Amino acid sequence: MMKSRNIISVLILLLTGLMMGCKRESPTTWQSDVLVPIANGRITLNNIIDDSLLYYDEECLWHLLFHESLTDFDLDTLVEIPDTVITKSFVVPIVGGPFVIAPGQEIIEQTENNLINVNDAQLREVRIKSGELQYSIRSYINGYLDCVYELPGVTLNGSGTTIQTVTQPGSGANPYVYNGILNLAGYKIDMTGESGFMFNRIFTHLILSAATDAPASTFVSGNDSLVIELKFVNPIVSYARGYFGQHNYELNEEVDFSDNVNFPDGNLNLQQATMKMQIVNSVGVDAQINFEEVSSYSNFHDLTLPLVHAPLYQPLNITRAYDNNGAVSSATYEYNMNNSNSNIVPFISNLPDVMNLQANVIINPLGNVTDGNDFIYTEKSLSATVDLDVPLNIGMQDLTLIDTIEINTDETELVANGAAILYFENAFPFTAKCSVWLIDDAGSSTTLLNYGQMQSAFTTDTQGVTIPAGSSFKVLLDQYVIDRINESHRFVVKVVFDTPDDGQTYGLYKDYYIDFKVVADGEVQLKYD
Amino acid sequence: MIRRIDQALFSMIINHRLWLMCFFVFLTTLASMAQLPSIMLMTPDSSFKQRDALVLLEGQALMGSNTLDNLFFKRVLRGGNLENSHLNAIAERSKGQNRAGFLAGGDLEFYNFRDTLFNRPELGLHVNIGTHYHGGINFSEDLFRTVFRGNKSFAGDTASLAPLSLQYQAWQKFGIGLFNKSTLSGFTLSLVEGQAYNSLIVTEANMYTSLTGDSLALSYNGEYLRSDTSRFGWANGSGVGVALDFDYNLPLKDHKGVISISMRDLGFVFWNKQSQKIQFDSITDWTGLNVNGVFDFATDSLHFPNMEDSIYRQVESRSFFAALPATIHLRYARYFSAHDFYEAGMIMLPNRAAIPMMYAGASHFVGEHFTFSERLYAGGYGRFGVGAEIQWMPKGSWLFRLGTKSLGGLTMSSARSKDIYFSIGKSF
Repeated sequence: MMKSRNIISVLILLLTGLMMGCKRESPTTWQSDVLVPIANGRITLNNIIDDSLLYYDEECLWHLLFHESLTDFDLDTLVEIPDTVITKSFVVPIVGGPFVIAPGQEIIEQTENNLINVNDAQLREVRIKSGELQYSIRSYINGYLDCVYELPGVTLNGSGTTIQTVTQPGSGANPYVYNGILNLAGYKIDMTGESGFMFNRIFTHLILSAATDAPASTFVSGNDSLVIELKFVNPIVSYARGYFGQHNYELNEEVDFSDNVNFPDGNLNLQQATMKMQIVNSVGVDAQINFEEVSSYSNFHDLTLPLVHAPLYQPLNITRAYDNNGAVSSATYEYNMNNSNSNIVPFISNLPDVMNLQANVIINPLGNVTDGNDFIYTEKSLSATVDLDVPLNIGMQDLTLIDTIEINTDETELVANGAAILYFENAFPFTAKCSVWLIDDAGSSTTLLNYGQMQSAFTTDTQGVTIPAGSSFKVLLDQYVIDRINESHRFVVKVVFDTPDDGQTYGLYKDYYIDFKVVADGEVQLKYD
Repeated sequence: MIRRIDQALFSMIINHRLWLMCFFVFLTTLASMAQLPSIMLMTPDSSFKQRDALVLLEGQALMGSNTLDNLFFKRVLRGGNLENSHLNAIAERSKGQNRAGFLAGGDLEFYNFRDTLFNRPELGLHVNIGTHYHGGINFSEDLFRTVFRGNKSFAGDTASLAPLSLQYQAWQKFGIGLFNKSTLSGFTLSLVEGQAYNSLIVTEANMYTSLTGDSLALSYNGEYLRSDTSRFGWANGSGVGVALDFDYNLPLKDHKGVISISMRDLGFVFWNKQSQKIQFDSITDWTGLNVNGVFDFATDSLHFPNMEDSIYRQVESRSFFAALPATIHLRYARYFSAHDFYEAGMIMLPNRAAIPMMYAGASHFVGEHFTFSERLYAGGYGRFGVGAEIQWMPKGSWLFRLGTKSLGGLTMSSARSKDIYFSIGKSF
């Protein structure tokens, strides 16, 4: 029996050993020779430049069309209404007392033309886009009073505003207080006062009488008073009418183009360009503008180039817009610049990052010629815009575009040794040198491709037709590079364009492209966990 | 009578904790596609049949391929690097279609020789519990080359990745049956607990690699069935089914030998509603990530898709029936001298990967209770094998069997199969 048990034990040990021998110790790995496409794409001009900035003409030649707002001259500041507090104290017009006042008997009846402090403007009417009227009534009178405070010029949809309450008995030491808030959005405020010929005045009418259903008698003494406080908080005007005053100020605007179009670095030879500067006055004031300087500044060239166009620097008298019940007829002025009447081509070839605009502006240079009928819809203003149209017939020397591409992949422990082969097919009639490098968070870079030169497409006799040329480059992808890719995940691609150095310009046509393909060719370690 | 059987089982479990330990150790790794040990049918000592009961623990583990060798299996199962020269050699010897597979599992069987059933003294009760694992793959040479050697050698050409079939099943069963105490013929009907099921059948799969590698085109058509993946682990599956095992042993005249026919796991499993049927029939082209919109000369972000994004498939959660991977075993054994008998047989695994395994050999009694055997095997998942087996039935109260179908597989990494099987029995 003991011998049998020993045999069983030996068998158990043997088979358990076999079982343990099957325990997995590490991942299974092997090397495979792979030839796999990684990426492909087509670069056309409208990939590089936003579609809204490009159009092509009937000859399929691309044009760069650029619209930028230079300034809106900030005329709405003329009619800004600051936060304003109007405090009025109404004293009972009797002497001595106290006297018992019969229910319904009037105590105070008084009108006021309250001044609103509005810069230098003389406003007759405003419409409010947003804001509040906070009001407070404090009664120092010992009795129940019917208080009616009318603001007939503060209207919403044609109806005047009335603040009405029944005050409870108050005293000099302990007045009764009643508060309220009125949302002014959509309100129209007549600022001509009681007469209708004033400005910056709001007419109010107070009627104070003993409450008809007062539970107790009303006792009034001389010098008893009622205080009303009106507080305009953050009033934003959407429309104003009146005389806005005569103003003279300097305009100094710096317009950054980089937000809208990423001008490349390098030298660009343009054949022609046109630029239209348009000044539109949608405000009911006269103005005079005197441009002192319009210039472009290029960071790359570190060069400021003034725009030369003689009419631009003459004083421009701008007539007022007309308001026909809300339909505003604007006054428009244009400066059209081209190769023959300006230096617009070198101005644009400077590849500006910033455009500077300096001008002297006079509002109402002739004074109050409309008897207080200037107007402004604050959503419309006096503005200056430029429209640039550049037919892309260009020559380029070292014109450089740089792009950063971030690769989002799951963390992988890729072990490989091989190459990435970049295939290009260039249909543009000029060469391009392509560089690719990796950049990590610390800013250190690893070069993958250094100025690989794409061949220029062959030009044909037919206008704009080219025969694409192919080029390929091999980028070493050894383990060091792969580890850098895993660390940084960011590629920087730099493309430098050059047209033949023959002084000619070349048209960029709609059908031009650069096709590219990236193929991985090498030994990859595959792993099975 | 049932009560007495229960008592016998209970008594066995309580009094033989060592056996129980053995069972749980081996059950997780070893399996059986075997018939009864030949010594039980061929021994002149039938005293074990005179005892009350026989408890038999059987196990087997086998893996084999006509192409893949044991070093490959070792690296895949245990980890490590598959060397280029090794993979090149496998690729060179690959056929158009190749096979590989494994079997593993174990059974604990109880034969009651004492009691009479249905007033038939020759009938006994057989109870069996077991666990089984079976996997097989039939794959093309191009598939192996593509996966393990890469697609570069197919540049400008098409790799035929199909036909491909891959199946893996794991199941446990509990069975009760009858057997003939004299011939040990019998049948067992088992309740099956399906642990896991995976079946991939790809009827068409071609991958074209362009000459420069700038495009890959994959066409595919196939079906993948898998059981509920939220349930896994031993005896925690998502299927239920039935299986029939039977043995028919026909003794030759004058006890000269025996003809045996056995079938194991003839049945099916019904997998639950959380199982999935995934169909794929499409053509996928891959030319790399399209980055047309990236070169706008602002900082951009690229995200590479994964494989699942690229393969078009229809996924349907549904229940389904799946047949168990049955085995059929035919055997002919006959004495050619007083102490020696020869055997010839065939083991069939009716699936897409395996071919019938033929074997022949001789066994030799040393005394009445010990035999050693040598056999030649061909087929199954592997190719050829020289096997050996020893069986020992001391005094008819114990049974030990240990064998392999491939002696070379135990030591040679270049062999293409490896297996071991054993039986331990105890009569009471």
